[in-house]
Parts: sequence; C-alpha cells; structure tokens
Amino acid sequence: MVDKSSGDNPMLELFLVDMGEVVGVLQDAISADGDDFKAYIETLSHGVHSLTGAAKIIGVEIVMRFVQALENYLIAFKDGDITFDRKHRDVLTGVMKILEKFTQGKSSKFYDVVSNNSIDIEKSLDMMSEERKPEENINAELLSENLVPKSEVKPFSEEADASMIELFKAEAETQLEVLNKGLLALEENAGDVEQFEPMMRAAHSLKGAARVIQLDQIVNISHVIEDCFEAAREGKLSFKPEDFDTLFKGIDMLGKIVENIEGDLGSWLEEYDTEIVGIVLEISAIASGANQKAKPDVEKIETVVPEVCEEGIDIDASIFDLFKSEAETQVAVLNDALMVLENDLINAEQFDIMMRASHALKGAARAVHLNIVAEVADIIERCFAMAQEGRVSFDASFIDAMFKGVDMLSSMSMVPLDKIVSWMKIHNEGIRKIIAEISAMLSKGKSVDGLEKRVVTAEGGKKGKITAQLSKAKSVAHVLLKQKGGKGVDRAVDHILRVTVEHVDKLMGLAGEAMVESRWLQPFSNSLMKLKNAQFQVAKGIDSVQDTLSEVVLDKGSGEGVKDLYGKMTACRQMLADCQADLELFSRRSVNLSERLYRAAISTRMRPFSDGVHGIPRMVRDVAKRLNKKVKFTIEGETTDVDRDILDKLESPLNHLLRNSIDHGIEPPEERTMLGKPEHGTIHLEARHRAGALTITISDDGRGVDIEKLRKRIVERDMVTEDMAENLSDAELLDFLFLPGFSTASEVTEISGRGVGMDVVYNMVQEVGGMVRATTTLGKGMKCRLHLPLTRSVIRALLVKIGGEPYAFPLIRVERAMTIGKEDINEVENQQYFTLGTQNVALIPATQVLEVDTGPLLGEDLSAILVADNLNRYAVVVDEFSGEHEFVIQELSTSLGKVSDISSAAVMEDGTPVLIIDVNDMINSINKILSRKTMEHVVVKKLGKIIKRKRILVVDDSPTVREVEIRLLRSYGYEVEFAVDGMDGWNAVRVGDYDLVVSDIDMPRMNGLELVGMIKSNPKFEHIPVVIVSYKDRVEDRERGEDVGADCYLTKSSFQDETFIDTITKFIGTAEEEMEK
Amino acid sequence: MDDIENIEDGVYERKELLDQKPPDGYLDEWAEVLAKPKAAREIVGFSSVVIFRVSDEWLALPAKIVGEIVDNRVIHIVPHRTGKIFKGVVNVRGKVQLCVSLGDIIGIEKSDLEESKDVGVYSRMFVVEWKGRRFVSIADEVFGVYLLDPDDIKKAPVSISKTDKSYTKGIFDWKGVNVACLDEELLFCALKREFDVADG
Repeated sequence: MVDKSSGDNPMLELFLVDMGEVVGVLQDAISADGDDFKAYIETLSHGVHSLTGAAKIIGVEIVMRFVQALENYLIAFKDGDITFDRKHRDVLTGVMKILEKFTQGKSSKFYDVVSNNSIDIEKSLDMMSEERKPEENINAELLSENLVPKSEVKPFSEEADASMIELFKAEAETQLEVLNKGLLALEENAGDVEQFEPMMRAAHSLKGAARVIQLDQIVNISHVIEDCFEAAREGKLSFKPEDFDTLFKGIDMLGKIVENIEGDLGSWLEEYDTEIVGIVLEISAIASGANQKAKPDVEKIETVVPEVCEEGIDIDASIFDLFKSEAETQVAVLNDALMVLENDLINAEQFDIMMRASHALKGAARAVHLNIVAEVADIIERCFAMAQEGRVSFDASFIDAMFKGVDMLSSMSMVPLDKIVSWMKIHNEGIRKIIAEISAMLSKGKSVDGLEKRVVTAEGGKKGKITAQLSKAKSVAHVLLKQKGGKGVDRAVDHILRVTVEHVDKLMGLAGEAMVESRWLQPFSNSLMKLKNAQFQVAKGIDSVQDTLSEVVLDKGSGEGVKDLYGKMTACRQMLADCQADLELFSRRSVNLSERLYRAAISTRMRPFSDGVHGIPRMVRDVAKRLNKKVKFTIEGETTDVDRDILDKLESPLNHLLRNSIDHGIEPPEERTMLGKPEHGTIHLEARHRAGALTITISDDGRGVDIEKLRKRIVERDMVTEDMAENLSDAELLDFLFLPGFSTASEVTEISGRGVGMDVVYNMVQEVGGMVRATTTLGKGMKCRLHLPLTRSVIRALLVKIGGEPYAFPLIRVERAMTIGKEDINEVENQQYFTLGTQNVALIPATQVLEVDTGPLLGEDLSAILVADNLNRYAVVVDEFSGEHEFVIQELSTSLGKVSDISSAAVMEDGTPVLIIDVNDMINSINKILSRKTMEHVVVKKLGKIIKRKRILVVDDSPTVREVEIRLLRSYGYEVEFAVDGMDGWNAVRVGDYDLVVSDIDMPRMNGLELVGMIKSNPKFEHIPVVIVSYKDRVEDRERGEDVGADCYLTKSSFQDETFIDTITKFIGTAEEEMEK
Repeated sequence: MDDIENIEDGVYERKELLDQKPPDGYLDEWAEVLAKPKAAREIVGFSSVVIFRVSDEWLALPAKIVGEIVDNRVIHIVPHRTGKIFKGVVNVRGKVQLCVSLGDIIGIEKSDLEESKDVGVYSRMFVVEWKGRRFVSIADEVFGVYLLDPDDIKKAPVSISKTDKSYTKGIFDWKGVNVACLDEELLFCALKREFDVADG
C-alpha cells in the first residue's frame, strides 16, 4: 500500500489511497468467476467513480482519461453490454497492474511513474475502449484516443462569461508567446533540448485554460503540441525542418482562434473546422512518429517533476519583478487580515479577503512557475474556503499556523531571482512542514506529527467529503474572483508602471526648468509697463503740440498732419495695452500650469506612509508576545506622502525605536496594573507634514527615561564634565541617547538595549539631512520625534550671499537666522563671539570656512545663521540674507567628488546656480579652524617665496605595488600621482609636468620599456629622470632598460631598504625645494 | 501704414507671381544640370570640427564631442576647488555643469589685446562631452561647425607659439588663419587629472 510518504500533496495521497482500495477490490474481482464478478461491479464502480473526481483534481491528463475509461468500462459491464469473459479479464488485469504501479511508488514519484508507463496506459485505454465500442474507430486510432472526438466537439459555450474570457485571452497570449519564441529557437537549433520543457508546459497550460472555457479546438491543438514536446523531451523524437512549419501553423491557428473569441466564434470555427482538424492530424503525426521509434542514442533529458516540487525554468526577470510586487501586496493584505482575525475570530469578511489574496498570490506564483509558493498559497486559500463553510474551527494555534504560512510566503517573495532556486532547495523541508501543518487544520487534526497517518487512515467517506469541499471551494474562489468591486480589500490596488529612475529624474529636471522659464514672463510684462509709460509721454507731447498749434494758424496740411499723428499714437497705445493684457493672462496661466506640472513630477517620488510600515504591526505583536508585554499599537497618518528614498530608509530606525519602546519603555502587565496604568501599554506611530517637513513621532506611555540617571551616566563615561552636565537641558541630555555605544540599561537584551541601535536612528536621520529629538516624563512615557525633509529632491532653504555669490542653507538645519548688532560682538583670544541667552556662541565668517574672498559687507551689523549639531553651536556670518526658497536638488558632478562644506547644487529662479551647504561638514570645518588645525596643503605662502613640492608619477598596473610606492613617496613629502598602464602613463606625462617617473615594465596597453622609450625620445620630456622598478632581475632585463634610456633600474626588493628613496633623492633631491617666484 | 492699407492688393499680385508658369526651356535646362553625374570628388573622410578662439589663438575640436554652444552666463565658484582651469559651475538647460577653461589647460595666456568690439562677436560657452564626461568651456569667440578635408591638416611645427603644442593634433588653414586641431583624448585626460581625487 502506500508507504511512508513525505506528505507533499495531500490530494495525491488521498487519491492513491483510494486507488489502493480499488486495486484491492479489482484483485478479488478478477479472480472471481462470472456471476460473482457482478457483485464486485457495484463496489468497483463506486470506487472508480470517486477516483475520477480525485483524478480531475490531481489534474494529470492521462490519469484522468484512464480512470474515466475504466469507469465507462465498468458501466458497460453493469449495463450488460459486455460480459466478463477471458478477454476482459486480461484487460482488467492490465488495468490492475497499472494501478498497482501507481500505488506502489512514493507519491512524489507518481508523475514519473505516469510518464514512464504512458505507453502501457494508452494501450490499456485502447483495449478498454475497443472492447466497449468496437464499432467507433474513426480515422487514426490516435484521433480517438487523444482527442475529443469530432462528434463530441461542443460548440464554444457562451456561458463562460466575459471575465473568464479575459483571463483566458491573457493566458493564451502569454502561452502562445512562449510557444512562438521556443519554436523559433528550436528552428535555429533543433537540438536545443532546453526548449522542450517550457513548450510542453505552455501547451499544457493552454490546454487546461481552454478546457475551462470549453474551447475544444484549442484543447485539441494544444494537446497534440504537448504530446510532441513531451515525446521530444523524452528523447523519442527529433524534429525535422518541415515539422517546424507544421507546428507554426498550429500555433498560428491557435492565435487566430483566440483573436476571434469575442466575435462570432461559433461560425468562425465552423468555417475553419476542416483546417483545424487537418492541422491536428498533421501535428499528431509528428508526435506519433515518435511513439514507434524510441531513439536510444539521444540523451535522455532529466525529467523534471512537472507539477509539485521545486523550481521552475527560466523565469523572466521582469515578470518576476511583477510577481514580487504582487506578492508584497498580497502578503501585506494577508497579514493585516490575520491580525484582525486574531482579535475577532469569526470575522467572515476577513475570510473573504484572505481567500482572494491567497488566490491572487497563487495565480501569480503559477505564472512564474514557483509551484511551491502556489502550493502554500493554495493551502491557505483552501483553509479559508473551508472556514467560510464552517468546516474548520478557529483557534489561536490555527492563527499561528496561518502566520507561519504567510511568513513563509513573505520570505519566499523577497528572495531575488538569482537565488530563488537555491533558496527553495534549502527551505524545502521547512515549507513542506508548514504545508503539512496547515493541512492538518483541514482535517481538523491539531497535532503536526501524526498528520500523514491521520490523513491516510481516515475513512473514504470523509475523504470524499473533503475532496468535494475542495472542489467547491475552488469554484467559490472563482466566483469571488469574478465579482467586481467586491467588499473587503480597501487598499487601492495601484496600477503599476515600470519606469527607469533616469526618466523620472529627467522629467523632474525639465518640469523645474519649465517653472523657472515661466516665471520670466511676469518681469517681462512689467517691463512693458515702461514702454507704456513712454508712449503715454509721447502722446502727451503730441497733445501739447496740438494745443500750441491751435493758437498759431497753420496751413491745413500741417494741422491735419498733427491730428493724424495723435490718432496713430492713440492706436499704438491701445495695441500695446491689449498685448500687455494678453501677456499678463498668459503669464499667469503659464506659471500656474508649470507649477502644477512641477508638483506632479515631484509627487512621483512620493509614496504613502502606509507603504513603508506594512510589517510593523506584525513585528510589534511578535516582539510584545515574546517579551510577555501587552501592547496596543496604533498608526496615524498612513496616507501622508513620503519620499520613496526616505521611506525605504525608515524601516530600520522605526524598528529600533519601537523595539526599544516595547522592551524598555512599556512595563510588564502586572507592573502596569500596580502603577494604576491600563494593562495594555500604548504605542503610537504618527506621520505628519508639519511646517514643510515630515514629522514622524513614536510615543509610548511606559516608564520614560530617568533624566538624572542619564546625567550621571554621561559624566561617568567622560562625555562631558560634571559642570557642563549640570547645565545641560533635558532635551540636550536625551540627545546623548542617540550617540553610539550608549545604553542606560544595565543589561543589553537580545531585543535591544536603549542606546544600542539608537545611533542607527541618528545616522539615518543625518543621512537624509534631518533631526531627531526625544522628550520624556519619568513614569509617564517617552516620545521620539524625527524631523525629515519632505523629499530628498526638493529642499527648503535659506538663501544667503557669501562672497557675493548665492548659497543655500537647508532650513531644517537652521536653528536661527539673526542680525547681530555691532555692540553685541565681543572678542576673546582673537575669536569673535556674542551672547545668546546664557551661552557664548562663536562667530565664524562663512568666507573663512569656504576659503573665498570676502564680498561686499553691508553695514556694520552682522547677518548670521545659527547652526548646531549635538555638541556644538556656532553662528556663521554671511553677507546678507536673500530669503527662503525651495530648490530642486542636483547632485554636483561626480568628477568633483565630495566638496567640503557643500552638499549639492541647485538652480535659482533666474537661472543662476546656487550651492547648498552641507551643515555637518561646515561644523566640522569650523571645529578645525577653531582648534587651529591647518589642512595639508600644497602651496603655502611664505615670505614671498613659494615652496613647491616635487611631483612624481608612479606607473604600475598592480594596485598593491602602486599603493606601496605612493605611500612611501608621500611619507617623504613628495607629491605623487599615478597611472594604471603605459598608455595612461604616457598621457599623464604629457599633461602633468612631473619631476620624475617611476615605472613598472609589465603592463597592459603599453609596457614600461615602450613608455620609457617614448619619454626619452621626446625632446620635451627627455630630461625627466625615469626609474624602472621591476620583478625581473636578470642581466638582459637591465640591459633592455638601459637601452631605452632609463636612468635607473631597480627591483622590487628595493622597497625593503632605503635604496628606493635614495635613488629618488639622488635624481631630484628632497621633496621640497625653494624656488624664487 | 501703407502696407496695411494696400495689403489686399498685394495678395493677388503675389499669388500671380507664384503661380506663374516657368519660361520655355527652363525645366529642360535644369533637368540637364541635375542629370549630370555627381562631382568625382567624394566627401569621404571629411570631419566636422567646431572652430573657436581663445585669446588670439584659433582652435578646433571634433564636432562630435561638442554638445551645444550657449551664451555666456554666470559662473558660481566652488569653494576649495576653483582655480585656473576649473572655474566653477554653470547652469546649462537647468542642469548644473562644471565649467573649465580649455585655454588654460593648453596654456594660452590672456592676450593683451582688448576684447573684440566687432559686431557679432560674443564670448561664448560650449559643452563638450567625451566618454561620458561632460564639461562646459569658455571661449572668446565661437565660429561654428566647419567641414574639414583631412588633406588640409598639416603636422604641427615643433616649436612656434606660446601654447603647448602637445595638445595639438595638427594645423589647418582657415580663412587665412592657422587653426590648431586639439587632441580631445589628451584634453580629457588632463581634465580627469584635474578633478580626480589623487588616491586610487
């Protein structure tokens, strides 16, 4: 009977069990004689009948037909059409043997068994059908066996409704594409065995789909195509060139049928009927050509178990990405629904949601051939289908099992494409276990281990019920799928479009530029005002001339002339006024439009906050459970827009903060009750736009932080002196929490230690240019607030002038902007400062920090910006303030690398470039200036003389050697640059103005000898000393070096001692040499 | 206002003119001309260059690497970096680009001649891009695109003017002026060195 199986496919298990029983009965029946046989017929029919149902669910074509044929065979017996004689006994024996083969193997090998014995199965089928209806042998045997006989072709039923057709069309298109592509590849290379599998599957899927909507023509064609490729896969068939034409014909016909589905398909099919049949025959001829001759010399392709088990084939990367995003969505839905269910076990609405989500996930998984995922999704779907029917009872362990399943789905969907195969293999056991666990729920068993036995030993009747239920569940799922606008899933399912980041950035750049350009119109319109005025003046002038003239009698001509002139002037003024009015209107519309365009472009970077916090409620629940705390967790502001970059970065800090809250903040339930607090601690996560920035707040009503304890800790760790610590405000003290390596917890738990991990938060916030602040009340709770920019790409900044040029300070880092009167400025030890509240704040000119020339200073009062990081505060003096502006950030060219004190660039409204200050960098620079640290610099002005360091070029293709040489030379004060090969070296020499060249010999593109040769043969450079450094130490190598003109030849061992440096100094002296300038 | 008053008259006259039949033999004559086989000299191997002037030197770069030529605009210095060759950043088409002085790379000194007061002579900036690196360079005058016959390019003499000839691929004569064809690979190599952080 069934031996120990791995419990992979419960349906298969059941099927095989049933089959085993039938085999048992058959055995008895066969050995009985005629009359007794009749008695067995009843039982046999009954057993075989349930087998047909199960076979349909298993979905293996050939098995279905086989069992069906057997049933019909038995019916024939029952009806008395045939009598049980010797011939039939043989037939039945054959049948029994086959059934035995099925049941004797492991269920995982079932499909192998089926494939291996397909010929026998067909034969047996033949015999059964022959015996039953010996007169109905149409055409080739093949036709009657493999296909739906023509007489039984049902006209395409219009009952299959619109949505099913849509689904089918989409499916068909996909599969036909696969077929087409595969066939093309095969045509080029008929031995490309890798194509067979996918083509077989495509044909098979298409067939299945066509069955659903009862489109038999497609079924037939797909079937024969499938046969072809199955035969090919088994090495029984190799294609001839003309075969491909036939196959293409078939595929084309399939395509045509699909195209015509929505039209008058019935008549279309009638018209092309003969053609279709012809094609089918041709293709089946190809396939059958295989059945007769098995080619032993063709390599047997490793048969991949088709349905169950691990990986699929080549998964297209873009489809995989779609699958991933679909999976993300659905898993989120499942999680949410389970969370609700946990608290409210009979929420039918959630069952619905779960079913649909898992069903969608199953479909998606199938599309990428991740059958394992489909299986897990399937079992979850079935569970809830049954739950809806009331067939399964819910309890906490059930929910937990579900969670496990969903988690597994979640992990599965996060594995990248290239790792998915190995991941599946590694986790195969785990996945099977989960599926088994959930299946246990199906049969109302609660233990995980005894599962298989339970399923196996359950009675046939119960199993029958279950199978019936399952098929019902499937149809329920289908119905639900058809329902449009159903209740449940509130989250808007976004229509996803794949666009490269480059395009979006370009769009944003152009939108920004359009906005700038549109703003030019208003000033232009204003300048027209001047023209208007000028014209007015002219008109006035003419008017006065007219007046003057009226007193002097002129000839008619002149008087007319002046009048004429005045009239024309008036006309001009009118025209101008009209034009200007039009321009104003246009300008307003244009500005409006471009601003809207700009905002729309910016918003493409935004996603709702809810997108980033999916896993969080779940995480909170799990952590709380693990720590035996009771937590009520709420989220507010889920629709708040957040820049997608920032959203991605938020996950880690939020996790840390929340874990801290749960671990250290919220007290255990008993303690809370003692303190008079509700048993459930509250943690609240909020996202909000506030004052043009994004504020994310995490607050809890737990213990809070003991400020005094914190103060002591800080002093203990020598972070500040005791005096300073006394003066620090609460807020400042709490800032210390975010510094690395700080923890007030006496032990660091596995989850978190307050302080360990808090610097993760700090770092992330710094990275995006924001701030984090904490507040607390001892015993009442703690609140952490993250201030983040709305978007990385747009920044609100304070525009200033430094050295006459515009710079921008990100508003989020500006503590204050102030004007300091001359009288408030003091000086101590050559350093200017002023008093702010109780503190003295140093005044630093921005021009000094940036090393630019001082521009014009307006007045004696100083304009200063107050900037701070956690430990320092400074006032940076600028020329003047220009106001607050919003800028679209542009990265400075990568060629520049990181420029000190500058973070990025932007363009002002009038097109002038503006540089955005990196406040952290600036504070660092200020620190350095204040502690009188000078930066290493090449040129130092000293008493009118310029000291110039010697420049050496190192040419070597090995980074290690280069590094050694460069370090060594630099340590002696030389200025060193490098080149990575001979060509690079030659370019560098021509451009760089070096005093000496050190070169390797063996290099790509141009070796050292050539390089030296070129240097020495060029009059401009021949004077430069060249030192060759090489591994080669033979005499001939040295000679060669000398031949090309090298000044010295060293081996790489010369680095061990002073040889190298001595040689260098011999040629060019020490690094510094005074030159009069 | 004459035009406005007589505008209606003019329309018909112009129309008549345009609809006029060509004179006899006109079409045949032109058919003959066009039917003649093309000139034997094929324009093969000709290259397009952009000719520009820095100070009193005329230079040329392959048109392929020149992106666009724009008018002079504000250059914003970059702290700690602005120097002889690297002038700062400019805004071209809304994008902030690096602005360099090619003349200073080559070593052309500012001439004592006054800025040209000729009509139509403006100092300009042009964008050059090569192997993914893009820079904006300043120039005192840009002529535009010129189709250069490779036969016209002569080797640069070893020593003549103040400029560093190692950047010159060759010289050709244009409107009586010697124009130096610059080696873009070398130029960009120099630019790369100017910017790259020294450590590998």
